[in-house]
Amino acid sequence: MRTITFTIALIGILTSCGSFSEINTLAIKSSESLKKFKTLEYNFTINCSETCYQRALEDNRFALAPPTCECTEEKKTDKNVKRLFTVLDTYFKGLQRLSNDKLVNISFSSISEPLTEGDFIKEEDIKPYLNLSQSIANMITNKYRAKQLSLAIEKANPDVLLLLEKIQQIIEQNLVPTLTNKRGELQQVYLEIFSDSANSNYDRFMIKDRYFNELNAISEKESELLKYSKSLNKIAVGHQLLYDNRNNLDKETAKNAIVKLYSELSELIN
Amino acid sequence: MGKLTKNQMTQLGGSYLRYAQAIGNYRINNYARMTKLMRIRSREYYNSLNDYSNSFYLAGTNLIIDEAEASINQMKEVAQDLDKAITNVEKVHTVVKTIGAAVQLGAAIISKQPIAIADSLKQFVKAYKKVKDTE
Repeated sequence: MRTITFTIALIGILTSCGSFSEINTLAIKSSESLKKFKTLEYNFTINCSETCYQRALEDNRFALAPPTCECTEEKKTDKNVKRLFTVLDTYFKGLQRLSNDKLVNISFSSISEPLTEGDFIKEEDIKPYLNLSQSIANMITNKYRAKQLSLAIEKANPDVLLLLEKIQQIIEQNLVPTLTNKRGELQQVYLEIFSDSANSNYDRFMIKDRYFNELNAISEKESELLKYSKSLNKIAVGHQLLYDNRNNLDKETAKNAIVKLYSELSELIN
Repeated sequence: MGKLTKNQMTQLGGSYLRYAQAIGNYRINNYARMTKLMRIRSREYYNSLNDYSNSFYLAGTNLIIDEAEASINQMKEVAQDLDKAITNVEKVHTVVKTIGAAVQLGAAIISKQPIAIADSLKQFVKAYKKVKDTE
């Protein structure tokens, strides 16, 4: 009886440690946040294509086909920007998989079934031993996972921070200013349409209405991009937090801080 | 002449943006007084300055990406490390299943039931073979 009580107590201790669900959620949220960039639907190629199309509309020559906007350089740059996102996403997906507790949720129940079904051995006789082996196995793999997660986080930290900083620089200092150019060009386009003496007052009213709507769309895009850039800052803070706690990833204080952070990240994504 | 830095490229993008804005403002304030040719020409200048500005922002982005190349390679290495660790965990998973089968076999032997021993031995061999296959 004492042996069974001890076994049950030991199982309790062993199964209580070694969950990485907080890291798993943070990695998932980081991946989701990275993916959101695509949904913003603005990059150098889009800017180039829209400008090219706009100018073809203004061109007085009437063509048989819509304009072909090559935008070769812009496509090349966007492809390279995408590489920054892909490499970070691949890393966070790796963290997700390794921190997923299902990966090591070892169960021996299927092994014991044939014996207990045939009444060869009573289930209650074999269960404590199987549970104990299961818990030891989980503990061993969790120790290994903790070590590997810690190593990966340590090795990746400076590069994760640098890549996120580069993406932020690209968005804030190079991509968002192209929207200012777009806004200025729009003003010139509407100036010409508005100033046409053939327009009635009603036409002018409608032109202005459309102009303001287009300006609003640009401003919205601008604030979406800047908000997005801010969310990248949260990913950086999150990864730094993982780095700072890399040797105590299963401690409550680290877990609580991670939970707080991915909640903030979720708010920025949604 | 040395190569321009990413910051210089971004600054040039901003400078050309302001040149374009200056011409744009001039057009807005004087459009009614301008001849048709002046309107066309000033618009062409405006477009060119805007295009230059966009080109500098694009070039600045390319320089930022160049600076990130070493980090991209390092991150690929970390991703491979993680893949390897995941494969190892999956392998450990299979190994410990064998331990479970061994425990079961032990219990069957203790219970001294020949059919139970035969059955759990079968389970153990099956689990063991799986481990060998993953090696």
